[in-house]
Amino acid sequence: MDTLEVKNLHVAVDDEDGHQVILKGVNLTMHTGEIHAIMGPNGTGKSTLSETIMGNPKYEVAEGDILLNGESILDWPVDKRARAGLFLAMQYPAEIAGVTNAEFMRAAINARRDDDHQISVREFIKKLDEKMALLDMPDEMAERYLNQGFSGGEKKRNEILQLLMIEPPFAILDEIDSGLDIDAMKVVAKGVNAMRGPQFGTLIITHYQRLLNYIVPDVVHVMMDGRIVKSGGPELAKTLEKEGYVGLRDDLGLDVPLTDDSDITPGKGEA
Amino acid sequence: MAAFGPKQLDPAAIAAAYGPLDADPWLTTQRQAAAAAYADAPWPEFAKVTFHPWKLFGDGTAAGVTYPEGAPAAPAGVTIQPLLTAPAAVLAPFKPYLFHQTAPTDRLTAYHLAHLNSGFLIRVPDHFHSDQPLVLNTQLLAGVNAHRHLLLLVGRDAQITVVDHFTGEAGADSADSIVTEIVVGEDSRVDFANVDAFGANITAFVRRQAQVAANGILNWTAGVLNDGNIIADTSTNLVGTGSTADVKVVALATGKQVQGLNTRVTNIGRQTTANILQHGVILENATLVFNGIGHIVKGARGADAQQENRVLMLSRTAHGDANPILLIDENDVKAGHAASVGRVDASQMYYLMSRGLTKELAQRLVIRGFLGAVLTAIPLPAIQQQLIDTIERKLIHGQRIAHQQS
Repeated sequence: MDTLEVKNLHVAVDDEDGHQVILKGVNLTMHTGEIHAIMGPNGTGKSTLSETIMGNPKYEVAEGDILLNGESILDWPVDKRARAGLFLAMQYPAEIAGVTNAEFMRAAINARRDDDHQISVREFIKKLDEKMALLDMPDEMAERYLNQGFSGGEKKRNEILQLLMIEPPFAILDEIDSGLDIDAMKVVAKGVNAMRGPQFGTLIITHYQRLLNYIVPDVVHVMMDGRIVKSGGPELAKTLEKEGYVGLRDDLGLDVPLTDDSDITPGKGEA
Repeated sequence: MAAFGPKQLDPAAIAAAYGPLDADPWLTTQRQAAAAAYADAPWPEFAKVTFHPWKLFGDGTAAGVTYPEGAPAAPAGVTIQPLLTAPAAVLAPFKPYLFHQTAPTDRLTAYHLAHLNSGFLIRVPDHFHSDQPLVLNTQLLAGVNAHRHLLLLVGRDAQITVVDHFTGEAGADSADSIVTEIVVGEDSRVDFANVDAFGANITAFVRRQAQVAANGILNWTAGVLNDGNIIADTSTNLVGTGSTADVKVVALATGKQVQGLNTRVTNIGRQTTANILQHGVILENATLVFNGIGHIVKGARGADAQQENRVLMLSRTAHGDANPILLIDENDVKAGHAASVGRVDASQMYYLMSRGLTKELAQRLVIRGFLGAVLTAIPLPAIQQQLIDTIERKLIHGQRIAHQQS
């Protein structure tokens, strides 16, 4: 069993609005075999948390630690974290012309293997065919350039395809449901559920409860203003859907400003 | 021989030394004319490149080239013959074209013409069509100065693919000049690819000049992967109405070398279309300059001249320039340009690395993608692969050096 721990994590980012503290002490422990969901209103730091765990150099850890199997990974560059077992399905995957999807995925698989155990072309193609069929992806998407000209839905599917091909111990899915219609969401959920098992743990970041009808989590965390304010079972997501973030905030007696669009409104993506 | 070259050339001395190479005395008179023009001829222009102190001048009657895969063979119907040993009768049909596009109007071309020591004449007859490419594999010799001239004469309504591939022999220095003339006849289509991979010991002046007749199409791909200091001029005159040139250049600069490239298309005829696409990558302390020159002359109504010049720099000590130069002397035209000099995109690197790829591999993939637009246009898969392999090898070498320095 692998363990990912986030301890008292404080994170700041420097952007056009200046130096902003976004995470203000996040604590989270997850193991392989578990599915966690983090829900929360817009601008509360959910994406910052996922990018910081992955190691996006834009985010600066001010305090706290991130541990993988007990070892701090804060000083590790993103590629080392990936090879150690972390995967982030991104909200905005980069487009790279001239590099095919298949070529990239093969390189990603081989990056985890030593020179004597590289995946054979045959083995790779077999696995790719199988996973693409599972996600209802047409064959030609393997030979298209990485994310280039992909629709929003195709990009999300492609992120899940990479997840299925790489099979990491831990995956963070950052708003994998945003902009997807119900059919596409079901396909994505099918992909994630196929990974489910004792060797796999996932952290699902979402604004809406809807996705959690298809990927039922073991633990639900609610994040507000840079902290996890409440954790519970899958029923917490249902409660949130009924009461909204404002209701939960008031129940908890928190003095946290919520932005205009913070209530759960199905059909709206997070900007 | 010294930098800056001799002050003047003596036509009589040139004739005495090089005349014996020429089967047709007409060639010797051309040498003499070039020698006479040399003293007053200006340097060729390569904006933002200081090439004048380079060792660009070196004489000698030995050929300076070898053909690792044997003498070039042409597809049936196409004739290819050595320039210098061509008797007058063979040379006759080429004379209306030979040296016309590369008259000795600049110092380096004049020097080249006076000192020619190898070359070919290729004739593609009217109505010739073939998918079989004509491949010239030439190796520049170490320590022997090569002055190689090529004339590719393509008739009307013909179609051919030509690959002009150069490698260099490692060893002693040499100063080479490679000059090529291409004539594309009416309604013909020529896919021309040159891959220049001269060694670090070779300093060279490269000039390739094409003209395209009415409704002719020239698809030109250039891979510029030399290790030494190079100035290369790739120019096309769209002479005939409705002619088209699509010029794609991929370049890689490494070490301390300087590669200065002029890529020019001149729209002369009406309804002519010019596209220039140049993508280059610079490593270590190297310099790469792209001068994209689009010239629409007066009277070229309905002409279209587009260009894109992009340079990626992989080190802080790399020097890059992408200069779009548009000269437009006609009103009823379309023209556009894009240029950039930048570094590898951080979000692309992050994305690739987030899947476990090392920084070095991620960088090479982004670069291959960046160069891909040009690489995929290379007409011959084998040459394309060779180019990709050469680029990969140079990138790995450059990354290793960068790693050692950091």
